[in-house]
Amino acid sequence: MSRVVSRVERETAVFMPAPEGVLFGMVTPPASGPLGTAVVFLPGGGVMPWVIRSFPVALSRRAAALGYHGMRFEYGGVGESTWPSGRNFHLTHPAVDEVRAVVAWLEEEGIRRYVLVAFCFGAVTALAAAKDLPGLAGAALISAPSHHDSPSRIAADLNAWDYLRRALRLRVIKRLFQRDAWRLYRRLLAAKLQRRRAPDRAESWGRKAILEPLRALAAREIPVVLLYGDEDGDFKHLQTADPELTAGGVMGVEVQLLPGRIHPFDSLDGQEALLDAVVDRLATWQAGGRGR
Amino acid sequence: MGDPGRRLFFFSHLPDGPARGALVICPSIGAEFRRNYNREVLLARAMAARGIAVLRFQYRGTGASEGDPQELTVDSMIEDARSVAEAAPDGGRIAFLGTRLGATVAAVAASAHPGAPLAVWDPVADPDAYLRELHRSRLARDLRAGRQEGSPEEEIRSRGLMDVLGYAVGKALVASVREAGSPVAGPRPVILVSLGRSNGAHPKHMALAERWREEGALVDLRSVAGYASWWLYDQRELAAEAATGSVDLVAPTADWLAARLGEVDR
Repeated sequence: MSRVVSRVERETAVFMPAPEGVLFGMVTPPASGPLGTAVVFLPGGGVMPWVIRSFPVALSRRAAALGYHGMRFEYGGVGESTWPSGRNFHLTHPAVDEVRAVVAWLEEEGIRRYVLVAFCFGAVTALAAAKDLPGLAGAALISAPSHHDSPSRIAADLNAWDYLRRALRLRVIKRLFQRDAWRLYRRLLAAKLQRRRAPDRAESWGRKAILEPLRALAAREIPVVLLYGDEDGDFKHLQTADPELTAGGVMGVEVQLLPGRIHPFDSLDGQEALLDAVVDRLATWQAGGRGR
Repeated sequence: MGDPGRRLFFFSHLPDGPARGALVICPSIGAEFRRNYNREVLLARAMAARGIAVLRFQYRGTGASEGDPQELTVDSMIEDARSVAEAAPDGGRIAFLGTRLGATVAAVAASAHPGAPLAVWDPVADPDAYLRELHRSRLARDLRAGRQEGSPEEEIRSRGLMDVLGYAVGKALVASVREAGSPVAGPRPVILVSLGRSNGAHPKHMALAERWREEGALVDLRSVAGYASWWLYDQRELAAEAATGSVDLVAPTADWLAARLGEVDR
C-alpha cells in the first residue's frame, strides 16, 4: 500500500499460548482515547505469513487511530507461531482454538470486546468461533467462501457446455495421462452428480459454515459486513443460496461489493479499496457505540 | 530500534548459553520476503540451537517497521542491515545471510566486516533480469484475471510505484536496484545456494560464483531443487515444503555458517 499510515506509538510483539503451540502477534495500541475494543485480523489460510503484509499492518494502525487496539497474528505453524509438525489448512477445519487463544490473551490484558476482520479461511474461522465469543462487537468478513473445495466450487460454476469446452483444451488433453488429473476429474464428476441428485446437500457446507452463523450473529444484534469483489464468484453462489441475506434483508448483516477481484489479494487498488471500506465500517461502529 | 516514525522492527533469536557468534538475516522484498519468511525463522532457530545469535529484521517501510514504503531503496535496506549488525551481541563473530535482493544487501553489509562469512540464497545476479521477472509476474496475474493493465513503466510514471501481485514496488526502489548492479562478495567465505533446478546451479549463479572467486572469495556453490517460485506459487508446493521444514535448504546452510563462525574473527 502506498499511503503513509498514521504514526503510532510503539507496537508490541506478543506470544500467546494456544492448545497446539504458541501464537505470535503484534499489538498496536490506540493512538487516541482507548475504546477498550480490539480489531483482530484473522488471516487467510496457508503457511505464508500475513502479519508482515501491508494490509493488516495498515488496518491495525488505522484502527488504532480510531481508538481501537490493533491485533494481527499468525496461525500455528506460520512464521513465528509454532505448531507440532507441518500445518495443513482446510476450510472444514477452521482455526477456532487459535482465535479463542488470541481472545483469551486480550481478555487477560483487560480488552473484553473485539471486532473481527477476517479474510477467506479467516472468515470461516470467525463464523465458527463467534458463538463462543461473548465480547464480539462486530465482524467484517472479506471474501467469505461459498464452497469448501475447488471441485464443488467448479461444479457450481460450470455447466455441461463449459466442461466440454475445457475438455478440448490442449493443456487438459495433455494431462489425461497424469494420475493426479484423473483423481481431480473423478472428484469433479462426483461433485457435479451430487449437485444434480441432491442440490441441498451439495450446498450444505456453505449453509452451515457461512449462512447459518451469519443469521445467528444477526440474531445477537452483532453488526456484520460481508465484503466481496464484484468479480468474485463466491458472492454469486451465496446470493443463490440465500437471496434475502445477501440482499441486505437481514437486519445487521450488510453486503458491500467493491470493484474487481478481492480474493487472491493480488492488487494494490483492491487492497486499498478494501482497507478504506473496513476502516469506514470501524469508524461507523465506533461512532454508533457498537465498537465500545 | 531508531527514532519514532522510522523505527526498525527486528527479532533476536538467542541461544540458551552465551552466543559464540551472530548472524544477520537480510530478507528480500514483496512476495519474496513473504515466501522466504518461514525459512528464515527455521534457519534462525537452527542457528540458535548451534550457539549462534540471530538477528532478523524488516526494512523500514516494510512489515512492522515504520517508514514510508515509497522511500525504500537498496541503499536504505543496506543502512538498515548495518544498523542491525551494530546491535549484534558484543565479542562474538558475525555472518550475513541474504536472499534474492537481500543477498545484494547482505553482501554490502558484510563488506564492513572483513572476512565475515556470507550466505546467499538465490541471489539476484542480473538486476535487469530481476526487474523483468517482476514485470512477468504482474503480466501473469493480469492474464489470469483476463484484464489488461498499463505497462509497469506507465504505472511507475503515473503513480510512482508498480503493483506486483499486490505488493508495491516503488519508483525509487526500481531505480536503486538498477544502480546497485550485481552483488560483490569480496574476499570472504561464501555459500551460494542456487534454487530451483534439479540439474545443478543456474548458469547465472555459476557465473556469479566464478566472478566472486576471481575477486578472492572462497565460494561454496550448491544447488537445491524446488523452492523456485518466488512470486507465483501454489499452496500445494508451500504445504509440501512446510511438511519437510525446508530441511534440505536450512540444515546445510546452518551447518556451513556455524562451522565458519567458529573460524572467522569479527
